[in-house]
Amino acid sequence: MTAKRSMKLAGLAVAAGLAWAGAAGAADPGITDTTIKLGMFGPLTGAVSIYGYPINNGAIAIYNETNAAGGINGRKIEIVHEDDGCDPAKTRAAVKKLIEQDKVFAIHGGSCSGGVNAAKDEFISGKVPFMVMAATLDAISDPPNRYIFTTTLPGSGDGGIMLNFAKTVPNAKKIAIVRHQDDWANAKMKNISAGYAAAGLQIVADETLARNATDATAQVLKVKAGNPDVVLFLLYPGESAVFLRDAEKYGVKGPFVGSNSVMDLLDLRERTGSKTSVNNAYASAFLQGYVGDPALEKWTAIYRKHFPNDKVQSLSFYGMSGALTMVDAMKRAGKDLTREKLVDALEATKDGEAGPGYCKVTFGKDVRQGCLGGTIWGVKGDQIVNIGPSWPKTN
Amino acid sequence: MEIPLLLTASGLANGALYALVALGLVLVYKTQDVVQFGHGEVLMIGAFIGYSLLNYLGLPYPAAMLAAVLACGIMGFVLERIAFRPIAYHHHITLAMVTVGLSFALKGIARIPFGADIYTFPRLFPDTPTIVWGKLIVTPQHLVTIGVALALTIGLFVFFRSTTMGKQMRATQQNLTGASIIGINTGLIFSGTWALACAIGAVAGVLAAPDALLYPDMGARFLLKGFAAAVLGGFESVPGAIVGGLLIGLIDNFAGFYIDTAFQEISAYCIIILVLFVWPYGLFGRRPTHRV
Repeated sequence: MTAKRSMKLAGLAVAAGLAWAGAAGAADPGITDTTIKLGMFGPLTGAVSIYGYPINNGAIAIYNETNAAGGINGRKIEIVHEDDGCDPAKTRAAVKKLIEQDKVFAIHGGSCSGGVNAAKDEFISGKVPFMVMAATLDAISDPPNRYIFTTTLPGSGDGGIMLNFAKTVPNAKKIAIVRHQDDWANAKMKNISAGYAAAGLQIVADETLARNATDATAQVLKVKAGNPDVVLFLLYPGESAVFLRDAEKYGVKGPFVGSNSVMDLLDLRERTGSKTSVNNAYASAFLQGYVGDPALEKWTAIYRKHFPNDKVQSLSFYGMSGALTMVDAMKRAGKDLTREKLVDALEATKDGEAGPGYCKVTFGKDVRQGCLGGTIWGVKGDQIVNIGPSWPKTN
Repeated sequence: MEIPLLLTASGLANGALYALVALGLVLVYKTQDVVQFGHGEVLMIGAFIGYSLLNYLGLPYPAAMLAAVLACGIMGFVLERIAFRPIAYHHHITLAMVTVGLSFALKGIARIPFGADIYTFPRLFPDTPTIVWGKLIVTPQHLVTIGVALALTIGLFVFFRSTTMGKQMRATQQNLTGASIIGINTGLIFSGTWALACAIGAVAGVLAAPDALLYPDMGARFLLKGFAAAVLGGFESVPGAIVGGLLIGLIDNFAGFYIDTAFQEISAYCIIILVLFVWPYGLFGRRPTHRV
């Protein structure tokens, strides 16, 4: 090989290299010919990690299933995990790391409202498409931003479902409310505060129960003193169990209407340690069915296939609708996938598959909350039943 | 009269638990001058051991609970010997930081087999949810809690007054150097105190778990209330821990009902701040005196 020819070949190699580098530079981060890198975060450790693995694993099961079926236009989904411990500072750091260090294409994550809200600016400034995993704070997706989407029923919607049910309870005039004092409960209160008077209801007790409370005597006695026709409780599952246990102890009869945090009413009953504690309890729900319901058979099978050692619970289904929506939008965005194309495809989602979710997913130009529907569940014997959005006429 | 009666009954039951937690804190503090910030996690470990023995090994309820208390006592003895004895004479801040580390370590250990799930701890009398006496409504669990706390208090009183080990513990607490000079094995006293404190923590754990539910982070709230109880009663006083715990339980309930239920979220902090400002040695504590 002559020196001249060697120089030519080297020149060609450099040119090819530059061309490749240029092409690679034009593509968005996290995309190769064979992979799409998605970021995922949630509380994998710490006090709230009960909302970490089960929820994220539901989404992962959908992504794994998609990969098993050939992926997205020839690309397989790779997931990078970060633990935010439900701590807003850690959430922000986790999101920064996913965007700047791991260079993910898009992010699907976040089960804690405070953390996701704190990290919101990172998605917006990084122009990174973000699908909320299970956080319910309205402020995350309202006012709408181009890059942030959610298929989870927002807190205000949950509160609205509870109030709509409460006002149909026969002869209901007085309601009592027991709630946490945090963003999560405040979001649910938004529609309740705005709508109770118009519904002809009067609040006779509005009580706070601390996180991790082990006794609700003072709250229950104050509720009892108000003699309400309906009791709304905006509490996490553990505290809901404490409240219902003490309500039964002191003879408060209900009906009790809980948020979707306790839609697994049989689990709630077990936690109270009393077979009769949820007999007159109802809960808002954004799933098509309860654990074991034939309506969720397909999604239960997918979860079990990918996480055979996990207990299937309501939380297992929370992340699925977001994952299905992301998969659908990435497919529709085409082979030349970019972040902007994904956002356009998400925005164009209409009546999308929500999997185990109660409603179809629809976004729009200024619509980022894709699913606002829900229902009310109750318990009959040892079975959760779908009561519907209003008090049953036969009750 | 009905409302105060119900608030008192429930407040005393909760307060009895806080008193037991405070008791463990006070015992360790009196002996080694350190606040055991991992004591809430000792309570949690005791409850998880009881739960495991009951559910997985099928031991009868009393045997499982006694075994859990014994196991935690042994854990306390070993912990002191390997983790605290080597640094026993370091600055108290060092010791306190080690107890914070212990707290994280115990939570981490519990999460390995149990994850972050919330477990339901069986009740001692599952078929008798409540007992009604006129206007008074109590649960058997609450009665057992109050009874056990009372029995433990009397037992400890007898132990410290009448047994050699108890007297040696008091001597060591009052004057460590003097105790060493007269031949008391102070190392054994240190370990024995930790064993006793952890065993009492486990008692609190198995009594609290049926109401509090069982999860690795369950100890934090009890530590906070127990700490407030110890501050209120006087951090160096065993009777103070008991009285302080009962008062905290009552204050929580009465203030929650008559002032605002939101107060319960901050009551412990308010009491700690108030006592430190107004009565820094607590109800039963004494201002230290120095011979000049």
